[in-house]
Amino acid sequence: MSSPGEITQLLADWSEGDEAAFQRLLPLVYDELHRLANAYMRRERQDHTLQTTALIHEAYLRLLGQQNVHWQTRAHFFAVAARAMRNILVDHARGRGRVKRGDGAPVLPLGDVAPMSFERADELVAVNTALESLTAIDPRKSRVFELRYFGGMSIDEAAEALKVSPATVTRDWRMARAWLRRELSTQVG
Amino acid sequence: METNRWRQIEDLFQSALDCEPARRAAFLDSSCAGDASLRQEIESLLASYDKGGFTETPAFVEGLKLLEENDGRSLAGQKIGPYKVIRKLGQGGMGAVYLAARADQSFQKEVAIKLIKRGQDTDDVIRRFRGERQILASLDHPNITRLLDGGTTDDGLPYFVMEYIQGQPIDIYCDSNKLDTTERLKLFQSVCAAVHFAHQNLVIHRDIKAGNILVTSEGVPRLLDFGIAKLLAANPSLADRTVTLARRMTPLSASPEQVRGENITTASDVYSLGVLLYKLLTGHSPYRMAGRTPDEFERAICEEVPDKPSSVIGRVENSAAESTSTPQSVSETREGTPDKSRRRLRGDLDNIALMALRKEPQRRYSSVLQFSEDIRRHLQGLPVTARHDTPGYRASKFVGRHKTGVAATVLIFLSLTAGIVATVRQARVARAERDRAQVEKAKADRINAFLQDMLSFSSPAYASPNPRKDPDAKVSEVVEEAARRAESELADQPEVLAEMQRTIGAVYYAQGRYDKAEQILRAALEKYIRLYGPDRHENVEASNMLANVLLRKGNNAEAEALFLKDIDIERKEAQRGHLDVRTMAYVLGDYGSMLDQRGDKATGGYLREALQYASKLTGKDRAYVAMIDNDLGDVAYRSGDWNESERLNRAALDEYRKLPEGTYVEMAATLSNLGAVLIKKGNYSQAEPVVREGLELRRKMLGDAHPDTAMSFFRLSDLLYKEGDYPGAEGAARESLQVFSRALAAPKDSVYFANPLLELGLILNKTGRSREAEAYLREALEIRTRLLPKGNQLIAISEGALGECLTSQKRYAEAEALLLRSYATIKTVQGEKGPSTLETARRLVALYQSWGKPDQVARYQSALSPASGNPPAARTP
Repeated sequence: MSSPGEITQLLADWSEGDEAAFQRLLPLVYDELHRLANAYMRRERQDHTLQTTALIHEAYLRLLGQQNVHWQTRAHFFAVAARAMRNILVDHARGRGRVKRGDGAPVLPLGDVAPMSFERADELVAVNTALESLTAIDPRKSRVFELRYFGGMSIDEAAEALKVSPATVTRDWRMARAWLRRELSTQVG
Repeated sequence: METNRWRQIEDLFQSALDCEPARRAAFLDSSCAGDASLRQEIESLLASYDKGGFTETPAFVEGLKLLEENDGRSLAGQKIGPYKVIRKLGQGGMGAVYLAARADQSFQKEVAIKLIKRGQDTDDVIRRFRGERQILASLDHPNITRLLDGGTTDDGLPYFVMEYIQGQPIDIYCDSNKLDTTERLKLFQSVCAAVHFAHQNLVIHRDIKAGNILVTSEGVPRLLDFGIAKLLAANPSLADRTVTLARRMTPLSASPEQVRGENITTASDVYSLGVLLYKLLTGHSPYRMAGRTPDEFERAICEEVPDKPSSVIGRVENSAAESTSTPQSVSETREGTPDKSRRRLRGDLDNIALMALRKEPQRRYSSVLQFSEDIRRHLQGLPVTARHDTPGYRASKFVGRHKTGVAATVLIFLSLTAGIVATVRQARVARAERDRAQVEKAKADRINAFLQDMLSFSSPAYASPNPRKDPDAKVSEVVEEAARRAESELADQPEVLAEMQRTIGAVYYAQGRYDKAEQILRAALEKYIRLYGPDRHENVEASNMLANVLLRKGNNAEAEALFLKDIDIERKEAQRGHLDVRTMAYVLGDYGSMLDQRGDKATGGYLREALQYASKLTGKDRAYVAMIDNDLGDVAYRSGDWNESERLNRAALDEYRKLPEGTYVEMAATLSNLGAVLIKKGNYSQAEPVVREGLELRRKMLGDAHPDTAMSFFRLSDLLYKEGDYPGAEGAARESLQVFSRALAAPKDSVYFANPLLELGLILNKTGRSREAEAYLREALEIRTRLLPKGNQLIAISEGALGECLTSQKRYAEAEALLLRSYATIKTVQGEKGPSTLETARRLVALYQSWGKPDQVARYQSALSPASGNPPAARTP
């Protein structure tokens, strides 16, 4: 198990553009997300108003401890969580799509119930693709969208992660949503 | 995209968004000045923004739920009992399956562990497992995956340890290797062998489905999860859960008894194997799931008879769990083409699969071995034991369910339906041998004709031994069932389907269910036209029948167009030397009859021409002579030639009574008409038994919700009125109205409905209830005015009756207007001395007498002859 110090370093490296650092972070974040998921589902039954970001924060604290790390580290962790969640969702959605199209079935179909509908899976894959296009045009808007949509972050948290003002995030978020919605509708036809 | 442009777009988009919506357009006008593409860009973004999205479906939360479902990754490296989890293999409703290895052994033996989800009461599951483990562990068979162990995790979750099999689910294996039907059957036999072995060891699988049968790379099928379902279901608290899961997750292979929560036996496994075989052979499930609620789907499992595998091949299906199945897609991985697939499945395999899928456990194969044996016989070209689920059986079940006395009719109908299908199928097989096919076709025609007779209520078999009190809803259901089956079973044989639909249309017509008749006859006619072309003799029978139905429904214009076209076709056919006497008589006679009903003078010509042809007919076709005599009698009646009408009706009656096959319901029409003539002639004593015989015949053969029965009640009412039995007349008239209302969805759209209305109005007026009478008379007049051509004397007769009623109410001016108009019209049709002319004159006299206008009294009195004074004429059907 990596120490909080290592994780902090990895987060810092990633924020400097080191993709390898991100790859090393991912498994840790995945595990934490799984744990969160169970916690979330347990709590959901009692408390529907649960804040998703509170959960991520909890994960963050577990992974990095109470030590007084730079505020940016927390934001970076949030960003990794958002990216991890995007990967999880899109991978799963693609898996659904593959089964649907019938070219092999790597996962044993033990049951007939999938947690994700095909329509939703298709939409997620489409969002992912559109988001890649948006990255090419305006990377920050793409990040804002990822943080908000896949990471469940608030405007302020996203602003913190991206080192920009909340007003900017608000504007980016509006534009990104409009643009993506249009992309999706032209994709679907 | 160029960065500046993107900035510009964004700035304008943001500013526009900040504008009040009302001001947006003006803002864009000024800021995009002249740049149309810029403006369009902004507007499309604004529109997309307004559509919303992304905030109300937080993907993050969805991701958490997903992770919770696929709780496996975090287990990697962890221990379940003495096993170390390597990775997750799959996810099911009951839990997940992991690949694991025994940690405390020197050699790494891989196993599959099924971890049951949280929330299930584990103690009982484990206790059951301890009880059953000996049995389950003893299931040592090459096609069965051994259950090795079981226990609970530290968290208290039950798990089962099984041999780890690497393979594909059997359906996917078959498709990806494009196994043909024979190969699939052989693989399926191995599955049967395993299930049979388990049954011999008293283990029922309970959850046989493709996902539980993995085929290894060596092509060996291995069954998973033997007995697991029972372990889980045995616990009462789990029972609910399992039922829910079963309903939500594996309804496709659940047997009717499983759905109903009844005892599960080896027969349930036979059934589930049947579902599997069906799927392997056709690529479809026996029951459609798409678009159905779970309840509807369960009902389908318990009640719906699956389509034959050979016909389901043609289905296009969009199921939730798979891609769209089309005849091409399912055939590509099987026999190559839909045609080949159909041929391969037709017969034996249809019967074998459906035998396993029967609703009643005791009617399926009595064992899996028997099931498998039948497949062996099929593969070896030997006769199989499975039989087509006979319509006779289904009919008897049907009758049992509905407890009616219609068994005989239903049985005959269904077996004949099957007979036609079978015969024509054979004919199709022999298609290359044209001659033989034609012989077979002729045979089918004969069966068809017989069937039609059976059910068109014209046969004595139908009239006895249990006269029905209402038009039998049960028989109707059977007919609908036949219609439905014809459509699914004969989809690939349009000419046979068209014939069946025409036949069924005739039955509906005979039952007086004109909407249904119209619908199915239109479908039949459309098929005939597509098969033979637009102006062909082959179409005439369906077309002519449709015309008759339309006529009854009041769609006279289309009916007439069809009649005329049919006559034209038959005349041309005759010119070419292909005179079909019978059809010619029909088309001319039916059209003549239509003209007769609307009082057209041309009717006599058509009817007499029809009679010329009909008189050449023999045997039971002589009935048509009787029918034309009847119509000519009606023409005579209408022109006031009562003696001629009586003669013709009596001739028709003689013809009917001479017919070889007993009672024809059409005879009732003649009886009714003869009764009308006799009434006209004032010969009430002779009329009454005739009218009552007609009524009884119809009640017995058609029931009390048929328009013709209503007409008979009307006739009786008319007679009793004339005899002065007003209470009796009123009762019969009201009965007639009720029967009409039962028989027709929109009685006011039938011109016949006006008759009892008019009659009741006259009776009420006569018995001092002129206010009430007026309502009925006005309704009758409204119907006739709406449905009959202007100047028709029936409208005039209705006006006369209303005039008489208004006279009673001393509303003289209104009455006068009506009566004068009525008089003028009727005089034109019947002449000065016509019976209805005189009747109207008598009404005018009564009016002017009451009004105190002696000049006018004298004027119309002089028009009256001593012989007249009869009440008004009424229509004959």
